[in-house]
Amino acid sequence: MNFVIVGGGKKVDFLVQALLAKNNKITIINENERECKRLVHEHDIPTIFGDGSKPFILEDAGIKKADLLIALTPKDEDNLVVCQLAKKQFQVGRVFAVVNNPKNVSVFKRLGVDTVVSGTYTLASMIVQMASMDEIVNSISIEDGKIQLIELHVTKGHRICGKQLSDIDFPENAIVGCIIRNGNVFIPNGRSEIYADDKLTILASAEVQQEAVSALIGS
Amino acid sequence: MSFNGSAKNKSNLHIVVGCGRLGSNIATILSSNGKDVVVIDNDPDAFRKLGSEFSGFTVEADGIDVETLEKTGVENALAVIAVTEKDNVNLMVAQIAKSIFDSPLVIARLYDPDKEIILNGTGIKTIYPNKLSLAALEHMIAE
Repeated sequence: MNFVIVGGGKKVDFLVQALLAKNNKITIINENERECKRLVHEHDIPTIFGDGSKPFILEDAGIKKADLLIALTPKDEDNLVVCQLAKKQFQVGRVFAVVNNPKNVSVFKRLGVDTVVSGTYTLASMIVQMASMDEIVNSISIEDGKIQLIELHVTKGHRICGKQLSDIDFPENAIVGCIIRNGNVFIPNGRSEIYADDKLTILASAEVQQEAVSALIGS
Repeated sequence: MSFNGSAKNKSNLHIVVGCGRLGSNIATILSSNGKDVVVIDNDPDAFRKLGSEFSGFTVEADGIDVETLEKTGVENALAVIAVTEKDNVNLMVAQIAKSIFDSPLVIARLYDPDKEIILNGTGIKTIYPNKLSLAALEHMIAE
């Protein structure tokens, strides 16, 4: 796939390495000449020196052939304009914006840029989740936090340990979607038995997530 | 600070974002014409440009911050005028005011006419200094 990335710094470095490993074509736009030189030196990919929120710079970067655009400059207003230009003027199939102010996640969505990521927002919701319960090893918010994907580490003291999933009273709008045991993945049914050291992947609506986890660990 | 008024009965609040040459002057003119005016700028020194006739409020904050706009009463504002030095800030402020808060009159100053496409169909009014200068120049040369 063809990617255009607007921005620079460590975030871009990491993203570029991950994308190049999967044989994608990438062009970067950055408005700092020195950073451009560093990016070219570091990754050996086409880099355009200029303001990515100007249509002609986007054209120079081959936006017309891009499948996907990612805006991750330090300025939210620039990221918004870059994404809107990519969508409205160049009909890029998918645009991603990274926002620095977490409050702008909903602002961007209301202004038509629907794939928005905020590092602070994601991190904060993960920390809140993990801090609330020791057993949760990982969690991801989906659909503005309405749905939670939770990874739970089962230990001996838990109610579910040694039982079948159908033995416990699980809330509606929650499901154990996956069991990870010794690195192997199983899709469970009601008769699946759970052992200590299993990792369960739970999909739950925000309202019942606490209840779902409590049903499994039994506190 | 609070402004009363429903969607039908808007106050005569005018919010000016950006207290540069244009912003400070329009704020002063509106204020001396008896309008309620709030000027937002993130540089407190910028407010020195306001004329002595200005009797509105100044808010030292980031205009693209939704909460800042909410606190200044954007929901009841009659007009939001985005005239910072940065096109992208003006574009974002104007879109927040129009699309999220449904302000009746939203005006943005844009230096770069190539960005016009973003505002197509939004109902936001735009001012292009270059186009205005160009028209004036042509007129002068023709005379």
